[in-house]
Amino acid sequence: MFALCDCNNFYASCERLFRPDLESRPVAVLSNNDGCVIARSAEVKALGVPMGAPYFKEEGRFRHFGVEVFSSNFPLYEDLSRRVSDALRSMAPDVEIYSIDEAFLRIDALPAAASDPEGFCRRLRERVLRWTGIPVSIGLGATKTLAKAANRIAKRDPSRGGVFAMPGGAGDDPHLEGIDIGDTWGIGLRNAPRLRRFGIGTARGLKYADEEWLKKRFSISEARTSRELNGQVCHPFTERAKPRKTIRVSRSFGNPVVDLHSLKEAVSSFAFSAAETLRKQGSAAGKMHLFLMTNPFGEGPGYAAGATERFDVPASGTVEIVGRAVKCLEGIFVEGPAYKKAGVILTDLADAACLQRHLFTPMRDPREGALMGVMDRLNRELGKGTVFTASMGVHGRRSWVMRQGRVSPRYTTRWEEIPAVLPPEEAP
Amino acid sequence: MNDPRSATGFPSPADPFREDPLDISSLLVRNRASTFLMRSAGRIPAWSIEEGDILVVDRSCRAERGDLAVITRDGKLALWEVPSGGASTWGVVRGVVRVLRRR
Repeated sequence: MFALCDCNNFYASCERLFRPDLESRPVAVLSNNDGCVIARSAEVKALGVPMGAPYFKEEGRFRHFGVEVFSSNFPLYEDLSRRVSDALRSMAPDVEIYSIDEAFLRIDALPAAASDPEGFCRRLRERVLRWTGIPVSIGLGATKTLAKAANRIAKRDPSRGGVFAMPGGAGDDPHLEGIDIGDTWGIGLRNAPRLRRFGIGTARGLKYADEEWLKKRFSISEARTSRELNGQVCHPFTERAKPRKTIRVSRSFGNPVVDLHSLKEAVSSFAFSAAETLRKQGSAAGKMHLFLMTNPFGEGPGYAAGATERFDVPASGTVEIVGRAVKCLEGIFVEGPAYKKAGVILTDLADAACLQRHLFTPMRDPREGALMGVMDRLNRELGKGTVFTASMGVHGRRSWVMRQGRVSPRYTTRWEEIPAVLPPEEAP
Repeated sequence: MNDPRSATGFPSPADPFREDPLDISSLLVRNRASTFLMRSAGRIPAWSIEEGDILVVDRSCRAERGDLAVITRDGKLALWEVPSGGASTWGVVRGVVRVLRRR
């Protein structure tokens, strides 16, 4: 039995935790650079604002309805996400983190859940809300696909109290008829319309589709989804995330950038954070790709360029990765265009611990690893940006940093930003 | 000298008795997932709390009579002395932290 725990309107719920005045008020959260709406409280959904709506289009409506708008505050969301998974683990030790706001739980081996899984999930839900202040919905099913479908019902039907079970099996489940094929886990945006053309418009339709036909007309992936809807596990529980095969750090600039100097700062800081992620998962990169581009929706001819660098010995050190990124940039930079976005992508990742020795290239200086270890620790313990490369530039002058005009305090990760609490009222 | 990994001659006879040194958060934080830090916006003499003190607030504790709790008052987080058990609160203050500075 799988359970899928999904945080309700996660980013909006995070913004409410230390702002009781926002309870039952409409709250929206914007993407990096305040571009699009990426989270909506129930009240904003009720206004008909779609997910991903460009902010400039909604601004008037938001003002009219008094919507509280926030820039994304990822340090806060990340911290609360970790607290939610810790709270889940305290009752169900097998937790597979699926995304920042979703986790699969394996609950069949738990004595506390054996006789009444739904009751167990209701207690779990109460605990997460009590401990972290984040409301969640939990779907139960024989497979991950069924748990995901059940979660959808738990979330949308208030009468279910936030928990719903779809045991699955060969029997017919009318609830699957209510799940659109496009909302079925594992069915991509591209294949949903194709399936619909063959008369498969719901999860129930896919459940009863012929497996061989699905394999022939679509792929093994759709056939697996169909099996999962029948209660046969194709996607097992995987506690440990596989290390990522590529690491990509790319961002749109707050303001368009024309000069090489600012681009160097931006590219250096993207390379810096890519190198940090790389070391965190214990990898080293064989190749680096750098790209920069103008606004594709802007006026005039656009410009985009990219370059790839190969490391003779897979690299994980910040100095080398940032240095190469800057060199790449110098090779492809042209004066004139107003650049809107750049990115660094590390590929050909290998396990840093068992690197193949090259016959003709010198081994890395062992002091590099020690230095990076110290730097990562300082940035972890004293806060991001404690140690950085000079090429990243100094705060205050960066025109390329993300525009985040409405970001809330980092309530849980910075001493200067913890929430204030008022003294008790004087007894009358 | 007392790092077991660096003893090249004789292993320390104290090794089996090694304990972790005291950590201040083990005293104040019972539950990491549910503990949040807040700053007191005022002086509360009855609790020896100064303005600017850091309060350790645990959401997982039930508020009992006589606890100092965090509640929401007029849309803001505020402290409240709990008059009777079973009250619903934002969290319960479990400790106070202050870095001393000479005035």
